[in-house]
Amino acid sequence: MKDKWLKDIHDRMADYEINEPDGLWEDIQAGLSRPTDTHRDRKTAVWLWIKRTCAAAAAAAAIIATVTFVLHTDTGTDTVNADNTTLIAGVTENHADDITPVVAPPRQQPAETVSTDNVTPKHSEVIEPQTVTGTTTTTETTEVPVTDNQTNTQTQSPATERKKQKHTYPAGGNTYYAVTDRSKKGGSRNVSVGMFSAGGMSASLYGKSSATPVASIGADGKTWNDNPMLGILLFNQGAEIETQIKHKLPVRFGLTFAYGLNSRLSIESGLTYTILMSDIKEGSKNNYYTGNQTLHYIGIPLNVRYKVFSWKKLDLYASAGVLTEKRVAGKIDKNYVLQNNTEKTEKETIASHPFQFSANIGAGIQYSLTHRVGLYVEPGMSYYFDDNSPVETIYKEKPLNFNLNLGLRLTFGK
Amino acid sequence: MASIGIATDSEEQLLRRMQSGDATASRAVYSRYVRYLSAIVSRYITNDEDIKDVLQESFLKIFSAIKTFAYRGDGSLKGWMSRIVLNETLRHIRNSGRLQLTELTPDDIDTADEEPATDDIPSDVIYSMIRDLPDGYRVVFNLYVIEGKSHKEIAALLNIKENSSASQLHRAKTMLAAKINHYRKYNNASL
Repeated sequence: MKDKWLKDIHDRMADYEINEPDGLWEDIQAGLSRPTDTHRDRKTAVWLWIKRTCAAAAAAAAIIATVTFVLHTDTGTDTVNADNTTLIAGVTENHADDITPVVAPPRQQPAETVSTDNVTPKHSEVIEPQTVTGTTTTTETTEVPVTDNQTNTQTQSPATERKKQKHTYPAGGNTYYAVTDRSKKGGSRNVSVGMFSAGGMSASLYGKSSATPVASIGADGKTWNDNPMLGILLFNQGAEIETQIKHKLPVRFGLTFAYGLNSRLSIESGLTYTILMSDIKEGSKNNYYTGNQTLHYIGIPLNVRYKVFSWKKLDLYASAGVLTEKRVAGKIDKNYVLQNNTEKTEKETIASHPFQFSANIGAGIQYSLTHRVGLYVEPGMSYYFDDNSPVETIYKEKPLNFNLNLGLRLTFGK
Repeated sequence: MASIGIATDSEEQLLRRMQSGDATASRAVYSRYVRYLSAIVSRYITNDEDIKDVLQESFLKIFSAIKTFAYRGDGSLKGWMSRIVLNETLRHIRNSGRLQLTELTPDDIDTADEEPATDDIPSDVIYSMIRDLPDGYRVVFNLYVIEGKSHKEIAALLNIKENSSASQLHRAKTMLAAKINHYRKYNNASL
């Protein structure tokens, strides 16, 4: 089209006038008579922004709380009776051949002894008084031929002493906590413990050195402090054992950078921080331990987002993508209860820091604080690929999972 | 120098008096330019309350900054005030959520042919046709055709892409031309 008509429109509209809005001058006067207006305006603007942000944050928090409350699922409550093959301080069946210290053992326990009834492993391994984690390994174990079903343990003196106590969490259908205590003194004492079950809990203890390990196990349980786990096991012999794990809904906080490809589609990445919490209880009615496990992950997502619908400052969108996370910290707080008395409370760090990959989809709502910055709440579903770590998380129980994502999104481009 | 009356004061004289705190001069400047400035805002914004808010903000800014304004010849005060008003208008548009870039396509064919004749269409009609355009078209059309901005400038002002600006303009022109032709047909505008 030629532009003569546009020039005409320009010329006519450039000086166009309309009636003044009613009451405008009075409004201006009112504005002027307020002291230090511009300064105040700016402060008001900032205050307004703060209020809006707080309101949005409060709304987001309320949503989170509600959703978390509503969705708090017992995603993995395993009740295992002792009649099943439950292993304490155990290992998975196929583990038997694997002794060597492994760095991220594929679903395997490094160096713990096990054998079960169902499997007839050729070897069993010795549990050192010290447990070993998934990633750090200075295990010394030797293979020992299994003599029969209810296999036993043999003592073995570790050549080195491990200073730290760590606990491993073998993977598998049931979760175990491998616990043994190392005596704090020198290496002269070795206690090896093997636990097996064949329709019952049994524990055999051998003490190689003359002393104390055996003596420290007193019938009155008073000295269980050193090794409450043993106490639990002993007391639970023949009793029904239950393992209960409740994984709480993962919550993921994110700072997202989105690049708009067009007005509806954008591609984004950023940083996420995820918390996984689980409650564990294992044992019988009077002798058990409870644990509270918290895992922290930092991750980098890559997503594609499609804006479905927009209304004022709210956007409704759908998103899909992948996420790479690394566990950066984990701990478990444990409480040992013997004969209904709390014997000991421990805190441990989980040393394995595996990578976790997942694919996810979600739908979310975003509130625009400014043109480029928004707060979002995005419930979604993810599928988690096995991370090959022995630590039991919600992701192992249920690879397909719900989660709740929330955070801040900065948009560039369009 | 005695001034005969405010009504005949030149822009510069009014400005000087405003800057020295003369309230009647402020009122006079307001009265002289408010209709013009209101027209600017209302080309972009269609909600009356919002128009009033933007104008109020603009005048408050004008009055508080007037002392720092340096007169640069005829029309410079008017130009300065227009820029403030335009800034406030665009700020309002940017902050009021999203600028909805219109993605309508129906009769979006490039009718290509002759441009519509506008000479005999009353200005009021042109004005309301512009206001009838969808948001995205309207803002870009105004900025490009009436404010004379380039697509690059528009892209920066609205935080959109340059080619979005171009396509919004193209569609605005098509739609406006259609409205004009439609008007002429049904109003028997003389040729």
